[in-house]
Amino acid sequence: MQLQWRKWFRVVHRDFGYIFFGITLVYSISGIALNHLDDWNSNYIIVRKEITVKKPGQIYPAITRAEVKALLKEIGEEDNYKNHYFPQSDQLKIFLKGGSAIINTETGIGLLERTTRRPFFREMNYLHYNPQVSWTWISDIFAGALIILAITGLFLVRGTKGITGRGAWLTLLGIIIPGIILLIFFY
Amino acid sequence: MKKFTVLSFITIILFSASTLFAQDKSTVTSTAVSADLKSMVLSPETFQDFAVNNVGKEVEIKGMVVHVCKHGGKKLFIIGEDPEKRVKITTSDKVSVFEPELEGSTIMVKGIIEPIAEEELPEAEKSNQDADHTNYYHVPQFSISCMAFKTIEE
Repeated sequence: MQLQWRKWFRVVHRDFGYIFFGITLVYSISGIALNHLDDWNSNYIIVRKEITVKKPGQIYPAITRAEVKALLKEIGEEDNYKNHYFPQSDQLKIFLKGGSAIINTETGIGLLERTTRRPFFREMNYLHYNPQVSWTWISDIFAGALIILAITGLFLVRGTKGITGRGAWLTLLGIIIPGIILLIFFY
Repeated sequence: MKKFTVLSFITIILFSASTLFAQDKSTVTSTAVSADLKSMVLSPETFQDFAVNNVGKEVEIKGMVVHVCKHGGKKLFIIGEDPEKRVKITTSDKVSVFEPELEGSTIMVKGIIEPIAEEELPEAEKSNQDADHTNYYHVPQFSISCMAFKTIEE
């Protein structure tokens, strides 16, 4: 009995497509997000606001927690106080629940930063970064499945639109593009 | 029968996955609490000098978190008494991400000393460097790859 390899390729391609639909979206969405990390923070929403408090004056190198909280009271953040330190002699950095504030002790002008987690993208990015050994296994299986999907995909269609016709040119194009990039930037 | 087979298949997959993930979790927890590992407790002030001749060794270090990278949570910086002496802590296969909520907390880190490969930046970009990301203040040459950490003080 002749093995119907094209039929099996189609079955494998179809079912792998279903199984790995979700994980493909995880890697593609997070891939775009991480490619543009310098332009857009896909993990956190960071909101910055300029603030002004009464000039703290000569408080370096020591200031008590009560004094810091008094400063925070002016901007309504006294209940969010966590800790503080001086990055420089004229800068007081205050850590808050959900953010931080940095204040110039000579001018009283500062910046309040609030950080919240960006839903959805953050979860996608977490998975993209291979967080656990178990996920490394899953992503290895996914990578293997992509190879199988790519190979079986070549032989799904017969005739002029298949791998012996238009398919061959398109496949070649897909190989040439990374090849050109390597020639220009790598070699 | 078909439905039963599909349901059994899904149950087996879910069970296997949960077992696998549970194993991961227990590994991390046991690493965090194991007390029999022989490691040295350092302060951020003494770390750089100690690290010169001890690359690859496991150490413990305690300090306040002054910055967590908010792009990917892959690194944080801790200080002790001297804010100029910051130590870079990076994630590893044991600790995958640092949450920004750690900023301001005092933590104890257990990890492996690693040399930092300094990035060669074009002259034009040097003035735009963010101190939090490049250690502009003192340019340390060693960091710690975090194997486990615990928060001592929120």
